[in-house]
Amino acid sequence: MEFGYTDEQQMMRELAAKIAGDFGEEYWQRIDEEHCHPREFIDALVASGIVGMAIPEEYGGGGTGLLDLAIAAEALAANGVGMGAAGILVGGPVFGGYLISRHGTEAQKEKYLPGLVKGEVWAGAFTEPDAGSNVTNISTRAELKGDRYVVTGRKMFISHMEESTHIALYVRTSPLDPAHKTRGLSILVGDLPDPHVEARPFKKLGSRFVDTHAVFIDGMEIPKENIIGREGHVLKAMFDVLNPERIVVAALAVGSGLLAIAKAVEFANERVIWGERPISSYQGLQFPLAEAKVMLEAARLKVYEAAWLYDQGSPKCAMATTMAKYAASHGSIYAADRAIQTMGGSGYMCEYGVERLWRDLRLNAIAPVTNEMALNTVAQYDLGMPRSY
Amino acid sequence: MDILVCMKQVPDTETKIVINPEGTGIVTDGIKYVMNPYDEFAVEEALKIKEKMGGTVTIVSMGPQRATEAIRTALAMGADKGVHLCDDAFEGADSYSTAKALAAAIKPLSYDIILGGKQAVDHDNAQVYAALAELLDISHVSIVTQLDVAEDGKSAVAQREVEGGAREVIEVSLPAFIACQKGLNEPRYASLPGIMKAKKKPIDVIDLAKSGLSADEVGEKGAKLKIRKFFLPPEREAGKILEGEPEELATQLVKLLREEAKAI
Repeated sequence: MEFGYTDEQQMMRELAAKIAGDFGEEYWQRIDEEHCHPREFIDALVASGIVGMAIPEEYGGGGTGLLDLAIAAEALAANGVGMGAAGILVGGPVFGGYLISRHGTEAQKEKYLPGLVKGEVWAGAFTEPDAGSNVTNISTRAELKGDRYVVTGRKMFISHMEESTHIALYVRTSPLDPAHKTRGLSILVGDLPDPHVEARPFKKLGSRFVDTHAVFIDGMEIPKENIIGREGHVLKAMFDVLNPERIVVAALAVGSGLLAIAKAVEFANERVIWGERPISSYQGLQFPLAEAKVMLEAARLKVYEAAWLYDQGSPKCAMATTMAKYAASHGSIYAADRAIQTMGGSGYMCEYGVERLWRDLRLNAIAPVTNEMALNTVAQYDLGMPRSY
Repeated sequence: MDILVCMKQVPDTETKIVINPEGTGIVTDGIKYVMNPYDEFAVEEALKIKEKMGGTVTIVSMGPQRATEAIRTALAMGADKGVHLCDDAFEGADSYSTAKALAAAIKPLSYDIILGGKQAVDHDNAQVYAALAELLDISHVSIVTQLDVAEDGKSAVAQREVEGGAREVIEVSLPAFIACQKGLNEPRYASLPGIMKAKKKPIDVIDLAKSGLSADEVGEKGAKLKIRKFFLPPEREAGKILEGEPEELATQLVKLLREEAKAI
């Protein structure tokens, strides 16, 4: 068992840190205030090769595994980016990249992967108004008419609709069979924009570096050859996208939590209120930050393990991912909360950026899977307890 | 063009330096090492010349095992191969014995131009390149902020910084050593594909035997200079605040400047 970074991983961390260093707190504050896409940052990430790193070399990518992508993601977050890379790293290499590189046909790989290396993003449309955690409950229908599928339905909380070149649509190609709930689910790749797709934006607490929409699909036509894998058999492909999504988000959360702690420690070391010693000398402020640090260090190991299992193609990846995502979101939200508390009024104001970290991180207890569903999974499948829901 | 870059791995410029208790060196535990920042300009310039004129970029570095990391960083930026002078006998070198070892590694190589930083930010001697150029019997141009290599690759025009912000323009026949200064270019980041390719690029490790030098010519034994002691500058004392009427203050100030600070 080895726990060190390889020379290449160390260089990736340094590369990520340098790129992060080019985009300071003011940049991310502006992105947050203006609810806009971090175009300049994404361009830098594409140029560096980080966006395409996990895409196979024969399609122009870096040919690394998910573990390396997670390491780079964490380093970006910890060096100032926070969750700001979540949109591009999930929308590109995961929603597009892993879906196609693991489950696409050769023609699909040649068609889509080079664009993803260049920074194209995809919308991943799973969730619906009546189907979130319970994904088999989706009702968006795709009917084969001649050589095209015609899709009708509604999708909810879909990210990146304004920037995406494609949408990976999770649809029913046959009605729900209560005896075999996962059968009849399929994935289709559609081009955006499309006249039969209407998207309405949401306002939200955080994650304003990416747009989030309710999507109305009415008769969208998708060529038959744009189906991923076999019609009606989608589970493996779905989890080969959902697991890396959770891992990348967890890695960014670990880095963001560490960033919040670093900001709080720096502030507390300077701040003197009583006497001559800075407030960082108070045990009451030390313990929560130290505790958050322990939570994040432990979460990081689980994130790396989960990513490594994914790269190995191991079935143990799903449980490790669930645990990693829980540990990372839990630890990082706690870290950001205690960072705000440490900094008092300054923490609550926007100038220091910890309130933004908290707002962005708060999402991760809800998505890509709720922490309650994560614990359900651990209780049921790891501990062998009865299903509670 | 066969382009060589002399590069040194140094402590990160943000390192808080601590002197060891014996005063013979710094505490190296926990230090993060990076490529000498001035050498980054040299690597970047080498890559630009290669992109324009074709050829190869070879990184030449002397240092302990860990210096491989900095060589790999240069390879990840786009250099083609590395030469690593690595042997306990090279330890404790001064500028002269460093130049001696570098010259031994460089002599068998084919080169049209050699680039390097104007100084390493650890010892700040800024002497190695001049000694190296002398040992190789080539010219050198120091503190270069602009470089144009002639199309035939036989000469170059370099601008160097001189006193008072003025520039000196020098035409030099090649091969020559160009010592690079900040402002010459903006070093690129190692790209991800570059990082992945770097591990497949060759690094030729040269130990004492391979260098063809004897143990007393290199490292501490071959050094002309012996470091007696390391110490940090004294901490600045707190300032003095004078109080009173302006006339009184002026008298006090003049007195202090004359008697205590001995400035007037």
